[in-house]
Amino acid sequence: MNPFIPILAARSAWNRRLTLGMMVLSVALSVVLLVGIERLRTDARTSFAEAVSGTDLIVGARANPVELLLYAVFRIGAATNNMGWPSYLALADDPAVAWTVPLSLGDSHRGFAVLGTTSAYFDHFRHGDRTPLKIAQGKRFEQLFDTVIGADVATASGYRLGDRITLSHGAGDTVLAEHGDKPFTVVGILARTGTPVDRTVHVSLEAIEAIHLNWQGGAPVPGLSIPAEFARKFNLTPKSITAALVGLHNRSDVFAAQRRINAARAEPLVAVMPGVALDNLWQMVGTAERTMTGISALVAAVSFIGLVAVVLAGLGERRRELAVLRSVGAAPRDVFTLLAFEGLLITLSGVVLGLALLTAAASLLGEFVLTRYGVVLRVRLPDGAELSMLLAIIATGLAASLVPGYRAYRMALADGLAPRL
Amino acid sequence: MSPSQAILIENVRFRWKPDLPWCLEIPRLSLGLGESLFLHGPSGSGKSTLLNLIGGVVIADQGGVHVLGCDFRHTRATARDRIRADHIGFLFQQFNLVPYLTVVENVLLPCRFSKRRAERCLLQSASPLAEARRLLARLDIAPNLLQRRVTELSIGQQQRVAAARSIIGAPEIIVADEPTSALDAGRQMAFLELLLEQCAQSSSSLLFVSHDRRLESAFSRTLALDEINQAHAKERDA
Repeated sequence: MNPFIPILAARSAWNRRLTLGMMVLSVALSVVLLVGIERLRTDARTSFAEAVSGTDLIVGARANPVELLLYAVFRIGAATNNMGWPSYLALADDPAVAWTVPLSLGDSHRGFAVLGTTSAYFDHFRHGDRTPLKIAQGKRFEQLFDTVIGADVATASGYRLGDRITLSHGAGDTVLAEHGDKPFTVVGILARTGTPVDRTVHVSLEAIEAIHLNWQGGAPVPGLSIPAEFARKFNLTPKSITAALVGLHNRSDVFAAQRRINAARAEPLVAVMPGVALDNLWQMVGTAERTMTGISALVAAVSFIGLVAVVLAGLGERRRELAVLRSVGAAPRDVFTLLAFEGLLITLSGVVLGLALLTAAASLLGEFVLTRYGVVLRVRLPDGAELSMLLAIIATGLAASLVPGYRAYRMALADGLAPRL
Repeated sequence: MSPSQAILIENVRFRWKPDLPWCLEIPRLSLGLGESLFLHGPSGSGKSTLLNLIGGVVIADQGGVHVLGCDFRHTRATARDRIRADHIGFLFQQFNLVPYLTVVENVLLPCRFSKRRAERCLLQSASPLAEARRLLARLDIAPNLLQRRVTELSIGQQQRVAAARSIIGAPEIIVADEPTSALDAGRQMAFLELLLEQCAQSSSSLLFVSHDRRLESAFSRTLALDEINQAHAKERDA
């Protein structure tokens, strides 16, 4: 190929930059859609898969396993039923069980979930590649109204050790009332994990009981006030919890343990293997994912048809230019290459712009998506499936460019040196 | 063996489609080395077809078109493209420049497609760019215009840029198709003198096609295409 052709193609494209710019934008938006959806999908899966590790079973009151996983680990949705404290104690006594972590959810602080748990949480909870939680500043909760906050809670609210915070009854959009009479002191801030832990306010199980002492049926009892200093005098053993994380001595016992828990007679419970529940979740959303990918592919197809139409429409006006190139020695195949190169240039520019837009979107919206949906959007170079997708886009762009290329080739042959216009 | 003629056309017949009548039937047409030939004829006398034959873009159905001794009927399309790039400079009526390139880039265009023409620039100047500048200066294009887009130039200036482009790299043959028709009478002669002078300097043969016979006195030989093209003559007689 004549090395001048790419330069000529670039100069020619720059000359028609407004029209072709629109095409580049159109290709870029296709890239944003196709790669963005793929990236969101894999980031969501990674975020979810990394949120809990090393836990063999999640146990809760009988419910849909996916729902249990969603609210116990991802703080999405709400528990319809709690499991009784005696059931939890029985679970902890199971000889196959190595450790248990009780989870009590339902309250919030400025939109962040409040989790009532025990010190075992800091010992046994694992995320990512079995990474334990690390306290970046301060210590675990010891006193009744101590709290350990996640990294995002600290960053978003600017809390430091020693700050006092109050909790609200209810979670998410259904905050009902403040537990203003019993403030908590921030005694610890966790290191960032990239999981829902970062957006969680951790308190002791007893504290959850304590703030609800003067509450009944989800509302404060009118006229009844129990000051914080008296709360300690009450029996703060919880009556129920939302769910429990369970670790077994031996992973091979997981099916037997699951069967035992599911068959418990004292209370209808369900034991969920996190990996299996996640797979179920992906199966549920799989159809939606495929539909989205299909729509994006259609959008990409429309862009490329547009690309062919725009370049073809411009060919009529360029016949003289192509004839001039022929007269200075360009062969018909040079003319073909010129047009094909132009299409490739538009496609490549579209891909680069699309990736830039994606990166910008991930940087700008990352925080929002993380807080709102718990998905970590990673700013990164395309890999794996994304690369194949980009290669497919480029190949389609090149294939689409061959149409005007071939047309120009035929024109160059027919027009000769003096096109009849 | 070096050719004795720059262009030699013998017993050529050509038609665009087999079911159409002949549009070109020329028993003989020659352009000697270093010669300047004025070829005139009215519209429809086959000028464009003749240029396409000489450029090797189309092939005669019968007879021979020899360019610098090379018989186009027996030459592959790619080789004909190469001969055109290396040895022929074309100069058209108007709108013959690439609009998105600058003046200098337009002039350098033949050197981009022909290594030979790029190398031949070095006979006169240090580089093709220097040669382009030299030619443009010789054709009265001010230095401040060199980096401008050709669309910013007047018609007369554009035509001189096109002339520089056809001459650069000293091709053996320059084919000019009505290059002065867009210019007013005063500028026509001035342009023609410049063109002839440049052709003489580079020993190029010039085939000048025009319908304006006021210019023919400047050439060493004149031919009427409608007279030598028997297809046209037959059509006229009929």
